[in-house]
Amino acid sequence: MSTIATNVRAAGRPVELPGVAGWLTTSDHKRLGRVWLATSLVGLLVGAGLLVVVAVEGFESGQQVLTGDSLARVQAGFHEVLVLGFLAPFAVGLATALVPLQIGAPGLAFPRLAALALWTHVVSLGVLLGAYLAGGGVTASGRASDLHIVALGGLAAALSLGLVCVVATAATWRAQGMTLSRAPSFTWAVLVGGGALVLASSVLVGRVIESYIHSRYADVPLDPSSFSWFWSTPQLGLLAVPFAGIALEVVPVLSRSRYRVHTSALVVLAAMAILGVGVAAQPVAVLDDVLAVLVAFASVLPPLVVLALLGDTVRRGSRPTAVAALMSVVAVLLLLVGATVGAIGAVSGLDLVGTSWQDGQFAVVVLGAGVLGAASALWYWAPKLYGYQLSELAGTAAAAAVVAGSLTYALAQLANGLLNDLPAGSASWTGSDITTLHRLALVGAGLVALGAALVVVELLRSIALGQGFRAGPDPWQGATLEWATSSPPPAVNFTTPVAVVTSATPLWDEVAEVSR
Amino acid sequence: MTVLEAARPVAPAQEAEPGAPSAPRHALAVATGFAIAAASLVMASLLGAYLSAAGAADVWPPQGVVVPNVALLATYASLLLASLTAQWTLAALSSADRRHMYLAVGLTLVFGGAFVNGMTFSWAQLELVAGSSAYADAVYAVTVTHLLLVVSAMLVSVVVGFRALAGQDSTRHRELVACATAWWHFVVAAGSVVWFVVWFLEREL
Repeated sequence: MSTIATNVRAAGRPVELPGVAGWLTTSDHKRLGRVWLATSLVGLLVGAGLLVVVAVEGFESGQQVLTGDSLARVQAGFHEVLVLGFLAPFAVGLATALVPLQIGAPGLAFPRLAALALWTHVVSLGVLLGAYLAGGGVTASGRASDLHIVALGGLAAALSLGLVCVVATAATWRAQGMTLSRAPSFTWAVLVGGGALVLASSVLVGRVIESYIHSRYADVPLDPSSFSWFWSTPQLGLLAVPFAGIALEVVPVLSRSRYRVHTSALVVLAAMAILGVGVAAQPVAVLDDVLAVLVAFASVLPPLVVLALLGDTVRRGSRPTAVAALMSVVAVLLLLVGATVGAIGAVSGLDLVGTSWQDGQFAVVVLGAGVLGAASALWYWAPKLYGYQLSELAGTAAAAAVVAGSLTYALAQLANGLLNDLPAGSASWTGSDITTLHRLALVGAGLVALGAALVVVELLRSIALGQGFRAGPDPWQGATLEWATSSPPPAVNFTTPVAVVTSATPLWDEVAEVSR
Repeated sequence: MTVLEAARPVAPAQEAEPGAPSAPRHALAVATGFAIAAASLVMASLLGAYLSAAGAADVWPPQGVVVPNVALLATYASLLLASLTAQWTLAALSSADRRHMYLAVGLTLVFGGAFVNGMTFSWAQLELVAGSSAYADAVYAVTVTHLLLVVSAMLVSVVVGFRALAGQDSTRHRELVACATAWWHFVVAAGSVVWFVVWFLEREL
C-alpha cells in the first residue's frame, strides 16, 4: 500500500453522491465540516437577532416587543442559541474539517457517526427555535417546554458525538512522527478542550433528563440555573479553548515565526481546558466557595500567557498584516478581559451573581472573542475550507463592528450590574442612568449583529457567488500539513504520501531543507 | 482450522512508510473510553440530583412506598452475571472458540433481557407515578437512564453476535468485542452504584 488513495479504500470510504443528495448523505469530513460551519453561522445570526430584540426591550422601562414572561425566555434563548447553536458547533465544524488535514490523515475515524452528529445538531437546532416560537423555554411549562428541553439534549449529545469523532481521530490517526508534542496548536486545543467539553456536555445531558421528567410529568417550569452554568464562569473558559488554539495557530504563521518552545502553547491550552471544566459550579451559589473563586482568578492566567506567547512570537518575527492575525490577537485580548470580568464577578462580597454583570462577561467572551475568533479562523482557513481567500477589507470592517459592538454592549451591562445591581434580563426598572446604559447596549447589540452579517455576506459573496480570490495550495506559507495539499483538498485529502513529521512546523522544515 | 484461528495471528510488522496509517489505531477503544466517561458523568449528574432531592425532603421515600427489595436484588444480580458472560465472550474470541462465543453472547443477551424484565416488574410493584413526587421523578430519572444504558449494551452485543455469525473475526472485530465487554462492565458497575444509592440506602437518606 504505497499510495494514500489505497489507504483510503482500506479505510472503507463510501462513495459520495453528487448534488444535494451528496450533501445529505456525505461522510466526507470536509463537507460535514462545511455544513457544521454553515449551521453555526445561522445560529450566530439568530442569536445576534435575539440579542437585538432583548436590547430593544431595554430601550425604555416596560416591554416594547415581547409580552408576558417571554423576555426571560428570549434572554435565556439567546444564550442557548449563541453557545449551543454557534460557539460550540463552530469549533466542532472547524475541527471536523481541519483536524484530519492538520494531522495528515485521509479521513475522520468515525465518518458515519460524525454525519449522525451533524444532522442531529441541525434537527435539534430547528426544534429549539420551533419550541421558542411555540412558547417554550425557561420559566415555561407544557409541550413546547418539553420540546425545548429535548432540543437542548439533542444539541448537547450531537456536540459530544461530533467531538468524540474528531478527538478519536486526533488521538489515533496522526501522520508518522507526529507525536502529541508536535501536534498543531488547533488540533491540540480540540483534543484537550474538546475532550473536556464532551465530559461537561454529559453533565448537561444529565440535567436535561432530570429537567425533562420534571417538566413533562410534574409540569414544573424549567429552572434557568439547570443549564446556565454551561455559559457562565468557569465553563466559558472551556468553550473558548478552541478559539485560543486558533490564535496560537494563526499568529505564528502570519508573523513567520515559531514559538521558542512549542510545548508551551500546548501546556497553556491544557491549563485553560482544565480550569474551564465548570460542572462543579452549579448552582451558581457554589461560587461562594474559596476554591471556585480561586479557579475563577486562575482562569485569568492562561489568556495572559497566550497573549505573552503571541507577543513574543510576533516580536521575533515580522509584524503580521493579514486581518486574520489582527482578529486572533484581539480575540485573545477579549478572552483576557472576559476572564478578568469573570474573576471579579466570582467575588461574593460584590454580589454580582445574577446581575447583568454576567451578561457583560458573556458578551465579551462569546460575542467578542468567540465571533472574532471564528472570523479569524474563516479568513485564515477559507482556502482549505472553500478554495477562496476572503476580502481583507470586509474582514477589517466586520472585526471593527464586532469589537466595538461587543465592548459597548458589555460595558453597558457591566456598569448596570455593578452600579445599579440590575438583575440579568430585567424588564422593568426606574432611573435615567439605567435607561441610558440600556440604550448603549442596544447600539452595541446592533453593531455585533452588523459584524456577524458582514461575515456571512462576505462568505456568500466570495464562495456562493464565486467572487472571491481563488486560493493556491499555500497562500500563507503555512507550517502545518493542511497547507501541503491543494485548496480545497481532494476527497482523499493528500494525493501524495505525507512526509515523516519531525517537528511542529513540518512544512517550514521542508522549505529549510530545500534551501540548504 | 477455523476462521477465527486463521485470523488470529497478527500480521507481521511491515516496513513503515511515510504518511498516516491506513486506518486509525485503536480509535474504537478511545471512543469507548470517552463513551464510558461521558455516560459515567450522566449517571453521576442524575445520582447527584437524586441525593440532593433526598436531602431536601422531609420523608424519603414518601409514606406508602414499598420497595420490592427481593425482586430488585434478583434483577441486579442478573445484571452482574451479564458482566461475567460478556467477559466470557472476549475470552472465547481470544481462544478462537466460536461455539463458546455464541453461547456467551446469547447468555449476555438473556441476562440483559432479564434485567429489563426485572426492572419493569419492580416499577410495576412500586406503583410510582412519574410527576407525583420528587421521589418518583428522581427514581425514574436514574433507573430509566440506566435501563437505556443496559439496552445500548445489549444492542452492541447483538452487533457482535451478528458479526461473529457472518464470520467477521479480524483484529478490528476483536477490538469491537473488547470494547463491548468494557461497555458491559461499565453498565454493570453503574448498576451496582444505582442499586446501592437508590435501593439499598433508601432508608438511610
